[in-house]
Amino acid sequence: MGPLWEPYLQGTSLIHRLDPRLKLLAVLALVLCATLVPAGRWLSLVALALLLTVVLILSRLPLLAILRRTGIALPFVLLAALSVPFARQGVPLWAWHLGPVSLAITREGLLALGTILARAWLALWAGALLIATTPLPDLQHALWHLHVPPILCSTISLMVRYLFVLVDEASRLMSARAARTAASDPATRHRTRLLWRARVLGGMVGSLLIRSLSRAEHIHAAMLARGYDGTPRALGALRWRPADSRAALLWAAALAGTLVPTLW
Amino acid sequence: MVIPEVHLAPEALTLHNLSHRYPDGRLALDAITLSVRPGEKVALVGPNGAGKSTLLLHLGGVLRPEPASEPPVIVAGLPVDRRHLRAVRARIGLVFQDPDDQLFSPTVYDDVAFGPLNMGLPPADVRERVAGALAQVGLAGYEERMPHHLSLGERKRAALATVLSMPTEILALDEPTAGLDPRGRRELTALLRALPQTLLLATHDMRLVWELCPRTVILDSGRLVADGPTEALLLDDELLEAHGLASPFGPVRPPA
Repeated sequence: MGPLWEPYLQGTSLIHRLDPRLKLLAVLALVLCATLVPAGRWLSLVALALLLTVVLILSRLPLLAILRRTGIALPFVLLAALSVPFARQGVPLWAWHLGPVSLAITREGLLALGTILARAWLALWAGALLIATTPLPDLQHALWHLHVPPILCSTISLMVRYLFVLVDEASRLMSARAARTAASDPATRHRTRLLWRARVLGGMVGSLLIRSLSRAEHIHAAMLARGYDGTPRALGALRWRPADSRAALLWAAALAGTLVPTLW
Repeated sequence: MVIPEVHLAPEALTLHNLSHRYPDGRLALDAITLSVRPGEKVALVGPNGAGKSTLLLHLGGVLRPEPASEPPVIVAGLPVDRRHLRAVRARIGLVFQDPDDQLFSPTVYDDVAFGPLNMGLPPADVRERVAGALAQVGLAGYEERMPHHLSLGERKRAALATVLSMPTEILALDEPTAGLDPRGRRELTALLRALPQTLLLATHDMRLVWELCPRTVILDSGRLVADGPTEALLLDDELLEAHGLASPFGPVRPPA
């Protein structure tokens, strides 16, 4: 599982050393700013991208690897935003008429789509930087110290912890399947029907679910046995240093600066 | 939380006619009566499904016994019931077979601190206990590691540390050596031997039983079928075979 984010965590750059609470809030602030930028104010969006570039350079992370990660979620955003160009009223650029139904892509719609994609990409980029420069336990402690409701903290932290275990279990199931999927003669391979393969996959997903449920019971028992009474408690030592305050002020000023072009 | 002091508890552990029925109607434990003296190291052996794990879950009050006139489970002089649950759980350390069930926190530190924090100990005390427990299992310096980065042997030891950080008098371990390589097994055996706590080991590792536990209890189909000196029980091939077990020495007796 590791390769997703862990190879970059060993860094000691300025960004790596910042307090995780600051980094978390900084990302949220950037996402908020990106959301506030009205459609079509490209200068502000470019300024935000420049800010992230500066952070990326300061964190000494490989540019391409980080940008590639931002691509992972982009298709989902695209899918969700695909209807936008049709939904906006405005100057039609293309139009189809299918009997009583007419579909038109408007200029305003395209502009909105572009802005939404740019905002989403900035948010993904900021998120990718955050998880590449902050160890997961630190992020979880940060949530805790920022007074995110304990039940949410616990849920997130258990999810992160068992994500790895689940991935291991899933890959064991996959290997078991692979080991028994005799490499069929190419001549007959087409006969392994899609339906049958789908059924095998369904069985694997089901088995993973059952295993997870019984694991959840075991974990709960283990928590009870160590005196868990429903109140999550944590003891993390995060230190806010003067450098963190300076970085926070700088970031706030920079974000405010990026919004200036939207004012006129 | 104030833990009531218990003086002169004659038995570390007493089970009196403990029965447990699973929701599907299967009788997992059938009138088990057993007592363990403080400091004793007792092996709990039996085939898969004999009820070993169920018994351990009762000791920590995770499962509740059927109502009875006399408390069926007494741990360190305290009946395991709603009123004493927290005090009991501070005294008995339950370690599950799969360390991934036991280690559920972001870091090793968080996990070892979980028990002491739930006991309401002050932060400085918690830190000291965590450091002590990790040193005891040979994992000093592993505080910030994430559990999924540890080897199975390290996870098994970390799981043990999660209960050693509590003021436990009794340790109840489920298959502590399962899946370990010979070195991991050897280290864990040495660690367990050095512990002063009363030890109840549910295991299939008959060599571990032979090396560590002077007393053995055999469970089969929820019933207690034998309770005696390990040397006698583990050399009784007929008895072992009848209950799905095998001597650590194979069918041949060791030289005297």
